[in-house]
Parts: sequence; C-alpha cells; structure tokens
Amino acid sequence: MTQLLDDTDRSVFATDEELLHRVLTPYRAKRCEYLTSATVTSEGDPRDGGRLSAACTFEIPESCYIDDTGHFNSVEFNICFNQMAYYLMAKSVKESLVEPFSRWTLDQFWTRQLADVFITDFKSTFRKAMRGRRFKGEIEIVDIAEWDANDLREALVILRTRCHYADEHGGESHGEVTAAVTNPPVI
Amino acid sequence: MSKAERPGLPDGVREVDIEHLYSRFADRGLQYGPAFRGLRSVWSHGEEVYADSALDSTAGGDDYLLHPALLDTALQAALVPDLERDDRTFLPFALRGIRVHRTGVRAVRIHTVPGDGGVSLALTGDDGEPVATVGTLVRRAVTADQLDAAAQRTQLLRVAWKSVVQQSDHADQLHWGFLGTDRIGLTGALKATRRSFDSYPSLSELDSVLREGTSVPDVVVVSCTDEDSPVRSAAQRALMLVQEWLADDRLAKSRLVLVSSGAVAARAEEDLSDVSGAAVWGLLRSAQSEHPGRFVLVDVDDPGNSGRALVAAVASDEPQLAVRQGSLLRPRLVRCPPPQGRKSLTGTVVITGGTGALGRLFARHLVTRHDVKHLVLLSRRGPDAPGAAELVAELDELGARADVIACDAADRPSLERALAGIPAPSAVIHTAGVLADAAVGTLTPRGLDKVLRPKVDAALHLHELIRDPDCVFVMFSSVAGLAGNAGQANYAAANAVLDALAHHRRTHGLQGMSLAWGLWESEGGMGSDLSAADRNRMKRSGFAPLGYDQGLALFDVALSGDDAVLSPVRLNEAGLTGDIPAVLEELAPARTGKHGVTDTLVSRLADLPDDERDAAAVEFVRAVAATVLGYDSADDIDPDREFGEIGLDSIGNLELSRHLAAATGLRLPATLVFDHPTPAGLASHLRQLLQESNS
Repeated sequence: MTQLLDDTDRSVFATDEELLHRVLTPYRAKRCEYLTSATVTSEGDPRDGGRLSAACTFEIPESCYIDDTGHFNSVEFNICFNQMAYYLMAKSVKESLVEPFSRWTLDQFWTRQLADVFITDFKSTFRKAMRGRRFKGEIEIVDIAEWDANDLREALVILRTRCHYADEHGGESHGEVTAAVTNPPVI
Repeated sequence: MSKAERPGLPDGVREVDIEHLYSRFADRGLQYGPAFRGLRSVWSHGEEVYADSALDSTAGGDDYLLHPALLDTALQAALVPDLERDDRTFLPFALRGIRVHRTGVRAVRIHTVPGDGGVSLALTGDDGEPVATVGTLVRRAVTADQLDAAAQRTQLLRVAWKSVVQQSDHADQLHWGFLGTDRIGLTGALKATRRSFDSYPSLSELDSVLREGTSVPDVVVVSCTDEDSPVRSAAQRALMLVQEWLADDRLAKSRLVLVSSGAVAARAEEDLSDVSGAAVWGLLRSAQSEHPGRFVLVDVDDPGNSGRALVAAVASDEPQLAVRQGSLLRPRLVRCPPPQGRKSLTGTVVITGGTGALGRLFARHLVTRHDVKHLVLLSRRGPDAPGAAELVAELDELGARADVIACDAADRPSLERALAGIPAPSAVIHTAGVLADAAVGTLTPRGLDKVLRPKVDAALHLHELIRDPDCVFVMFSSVAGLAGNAGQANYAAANAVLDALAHHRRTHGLQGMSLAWGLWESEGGMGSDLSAADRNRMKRSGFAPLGYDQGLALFDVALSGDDAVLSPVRLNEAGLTGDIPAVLEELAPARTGKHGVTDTLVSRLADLPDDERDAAAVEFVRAVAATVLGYDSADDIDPDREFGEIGLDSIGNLELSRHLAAATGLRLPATLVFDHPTPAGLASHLRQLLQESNS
C-alpha cells in the first residue's frame, strides 16, 4: 500500500510482507529473522538533500549465536542493520525509488543480495543497553555513490547510511555504516 | 560660512559647491572617502583658491606633524581650477619646499596661488598664523585610460610554461610501477629507462601484489589520456583513483604520477587534443592542494620517448609539468600586460546563466558599454527566474531587446531549439555554473556531475553548435581550475575543461577565450555560497574578491586580447607569501634584483658597438620595467607604449627611476618616467644623459 502525501514528493510504503519474507529467506534456516516490519519513506533523492529511510520493528526471541547475554549486542546490531538495508534496497528496486536501484530488476537484486553487498565501514555506538526482546530501528540512506567500471576498478555502488535502535526501556544505540555493492548490473 | 564671516577673502571670489565638487572629482576618477572629504568651504578667485578645511572628529592621528587628510584637502583645493577649465584629470605629482610651522592642527584655511612650474600652498590657522607651506605643488594630467590601467595593474594573469633545469638522475634507485591500461604507450619507454619496474593492470592487482609482500613501488605511473573517454569518465576515474590512493596507507610514501598527452597547451599554438584529460588536471590540482606531495601531473608530447623525461619530472619535485621535446616545463601564473585597443561587442549576444548574478551584470554591461542591441538570456527557469521581467524592462529602457528563454544549456536538444529560434549570434558568453564543494576524499560521482553538467556539458554543446569562425566565444571559468582550490576538485576539473576548450577551438580556427575569474564580490552569485572561512582561505591564497566594476573593466580589457585563457583577478599580494600552490609562486611581488637589474647599463653599453647601443638601452629599460611590474619577460613591454598604459603606477615609477639611477650612476629626477613616458623614449633620454656625462 502506498500513501502519497499531497503537495510533496513524499511517499510512504507500509510493510511489504511478501518482499520482507523474500529478503529474510537467507536468515530463515539460522532462525534469525529479526526484522518484523519496515515502513519505507521516500522523499526526493538523498544525493540532492532528499531522504530515503525505513522505520522498522524487530524481535529477537533468542540469540542465534550465543546464549542470552541479556542485552542487544554488536553482532545483533549488525544483523539487524543488514536486514534493514537489504529490505530498503529491495523496496527501492521494486518501487523505483532511487538510482541506481530504480534501474535494476528484483531478480538482479536477489542474485546480488548476499554475494555482492559488503560492509566497508562500520561504526556502532551504544548509549544505554537495550534489554527488550522487541525494539524499533531506523535506517536512512545518506548518500549513494555510483562509480563506473574502468580499467582500474570494477563498477561499485557505495551506500552511506545512518541507523538507530531504541527500546521502550530507554535503551538506545546508533551507528554509521557504509556498504559497497559490487558487480552492479550493466544497464 | 558666507564670505562675510570668513576674513581674508578678496572681493570677487566665487563660492564652489562642496557636494558638487566631490561628485565632479569622482567623475574624473578621484573618489575620496569620508575621511578625506575635509573641505568645508571653497572659493575660487581666478586661478587662486581659498578654502577652509577640517578633520573629521573620528580622524584621529594626533601624532602627525600635519595630518595627511588635512594636507590632502589643500591638494584637492589646488585641483579646483583644473576642474573648471579642463576635461582631463589632474593628480598631485610632486611636492617641493614643504614646511610645517605648527603641529597638531585639525582645521586650516587654505590659499593656493599658481606660480612658476606649479602651485604654492599656504595653510594657516584661524588666527591667520602659518601652519604649513608648500613651495610648489606639481600637478600632472592623466587620462581615463591611464587610470583604468593603473586600477588593473595586477589583475590580468596568464599561464606561462617555464623551463625547469633537469636534476641529475638521483631518482634512479626508485622502484617504479605502471598501473592500469597503457593507452598511450608509456610502458615501453619506462621499461627502457627503469631498472626496477612492475606493471599492475588494476588496483586489485596492485593490492594482491602488495599483500604477497612485494615491495611498495616508490612511484606509480598511470595513463590518463584515452581518446574515447568523455570528460565525465576521465574525471570520475581520476577521482576514484585519488580516493583509493589516499585510503591505502601502504602507499603513503609513494607518489602517483598521472600522465596525459595533449591535455594542456604549453604553447599557444599547440593543439589541445585531450580536452577530457584537462578535467584530470583540474581535479588533481585540487587534490595536490589538499594532499601535497602525493600526486604529480605530467603531460607528454611524445609518450613513446618520454621515459627519461618522466624520471626527470619526478626528480624535479614539481607537482605539474609538461614535457616538450624532452624538456621539462612548469606552469606559472604571471601578470600579463593589458592588451591594446578595445573590442566592442555588437549584434545578438547569447548569455548562458543569463538571469544569474553574473549574467544580469554582463547583460547590462553589454548594452551600456558595448553596442549590443539584442540579448538572448538562457536560463533553466527562463522568464520565471526571479527578476527576469524587471531585467528585460531595464534592458529595454537602455535600448536593447532581451529575450529570456527557458533552456537548460547542458541539454543538447534544449540548447539546439533555443539557438534555432534566434538570429546567428555574434558572441556567446557562457557564465552558467554551480558549486558543490567537498574534500576530494569524500567527493562523489554525483558531486562531480553536479558541477560538470552546467559548465562542461553546456560548453561542449555550445562548442559543437557555434561553428561560425567570427562568433566571439567567451567562457567564464575560474582561477580555481588553475590554482587547484582545496575543496573544489569538481569545480577545478570543470573549469580546466573550459580553459582547454578555449585552446582547442582556437587551434581549429574558431574563436575561444576562457576567463578564469577570481572570486567575485557577489551577492546571490556563486561566491555568495562561500562562508567567511572560505573567503579567508581564499584571501590567504593570494586572491581578494573582485568588485563588479573591476570585473567588468577586466572583461573589456581581456576581450581585446589574444590569449585563450586569461585570469582576471584581484591579487592580495600579502597573501602570496605563505604556503601557496607552486603555480602562484611567481606572483609574489618581485621588486628587487631579477634579471639584469643589478647590472649596470653603462658597462653593458660599453661592450657594444655604437650602432647597437640604442637597441640595447631600450632592451635594458624594458627588462627593468618588466621586473618592476612583475611581468614574465621584457617581451611583455612594448617599447612604444606608455608606462602608465601597461600598469606602472606612481610607486612603480619611483622604483623604475631608482633602478635606472643605480644602473646608470646618474641622478635622475622623480619626474623621469612622466617626462619620458615610453621605454623607447626613456632609453633614448638615458643614452643622451650618459653621453653628456661622459663628455
């Protein structure tokens, strides 16, 4: 469902359950499908001062890799970030929200989702420990740099993002993450 | 004060309107600021002048024997009779026999009396007792052109490529590598020259080799000229490479040498075949400013034989070089004498960015100071641009028709449509441009495109569409492209392309001029985006903002020149002494001892046969004048053009006289240059004086 607000170029996309299911497929066998909803807001191109973001909810019934630590740790921060980022990219492809994803097909995205998306820079800050099993998160794309291929380097898409998590007990963490997408489709 | 209240005035005096007086001074180019508008009342009596003057209460300066602003009012009073009878502008030129009788005075009565060879001045207090007297004030007439020339003295620059003495081959022990695809045939030349040489087809290959433990190359060469590469691709590739290079700590002590062929014109007649490569030069100049010592730019004329020259280039430690016939040349901005004559634009003139701050400024200028009757102002918003309707009305009132057309000049079909609907233009002025500043390490392809599009895309479309060899083709670029402003790699790249395009057009029989402006003192133009910190940085870099009038005057002067690229700027010479880009080094004031100034004319003439001495004397005067003016060589000094016209001001006159006095051993008067205003005339006079002193 799309809600296009009058007199602005702002579009809001409620959770696309089918898409979410597909995005989380790689996590299913490992029992770490943490992302439960994602509302995407698109308001212009982030490269021109616009905003592309997803407001998300998460649930972590039990950690997929360690006994219960009692708090949201950096590995979970990373997994949750990945799930938000994958979903936001997939939705951008599906709804043609921003270049270069608007030029891709979803099939092209699915073949690249795991093999060609790399975190190149990761900064996480934990202000106050988050202890709830359920919490909220947000990802915002700050900039997208689309680098062409040449003799020196393959083509590359660089996403600069900000993310933020909070639970109802006042726990809070945030971060800045840069991701690189290699092997972008040649169009 | 009426005559009745002012003692000492003779019968028949006529009171002069003070406000009117200062506006008449201003009309002649003498614009006095508030502190110097000290005349309170003026009366003329034939050739004599009576005046009362006083210092402003804020003037301060109690330490002076006689406050300069107060003395200046007496000089102003002495100029009044000239205003009445002559269209020329007179300036106080020399003062003789000055005596100060009383100090600390803040108000005086003035009486000027014409006499033999000048005017005498008497300054008295309210009590009639003398404050100061000047035996003779000598005035001299100057023309408006001379005043203009003086105002422009240091503001028109051009790039001169100068020889670099090649170092002995101490770089021979360095380990060299070549990165990427060799499209111009450099590797063969390098392999022949270097004992230690590796090739890395890509950055990932270089990374792999370094991970394997191979020693890090000291110098990595990459080719930047590719005939098939559009500007955007060449610039983006260079930007990517710069960022990868800076991000890799293993390469922190290595130098990256970016080699092009035909991306710069080291001589006016050279064809600049690689316009895209010019973007690399612009971008890298900024990268060099931000990261000194990491990058070297070299343009070679014969890539297959450039091995030895490239080694010498790296050994030279110069950041930018051209290799021509095996010789190394480095770019230096130098002062350029104002071209002679004046070109007036006529007919239909197209201006891109026509409703922007500069577009509007130049639209008015072309109508009021040139003979343009039809303007086509292109802008993306066209008639909807703020102030467009008012501008059209204003130009209409000034007698010109202005069509404001909504046209994105960077969009070829849009530009074609706009040009198809108008008469063939006699001139095109491409002023459009935007800023999107970022450090080179964080600049993105989008940030690059944002600046390249309105400047470069539009310029290239105009270049393709304007093929009339008589159509004047002026592009507004920026000194940022020549100096490589930090934080403006995209802007520098775009402007370097415009500079290159101007060269390129000329070698193909078309008109082309790129004006690499310094910062404008603008409101609402691109300069207004700059923060106070940016302006301060710019000031420290040796440039000061150009006023509108200064810029317009420089445009008129540059237009009559024959250079592809001229840089109209206001120099802040005090800012040229610190840590500045190498290309600006020679702009620092050169007031003493360069070539020949310490030499003596006498000994030089003594070694020559008589029939060669006149020419040698002229050469000598030209060389000294070039040194005083900071020009590149004596060739810039026309022997028959007046010193005032080529920018010699009163301080310069004194310096020239001083140098010549030292070189001849003669006592020369302060009026020397004024009395003999051309190099040829002055040389002839010196010869005569020397002969007299020998006989």
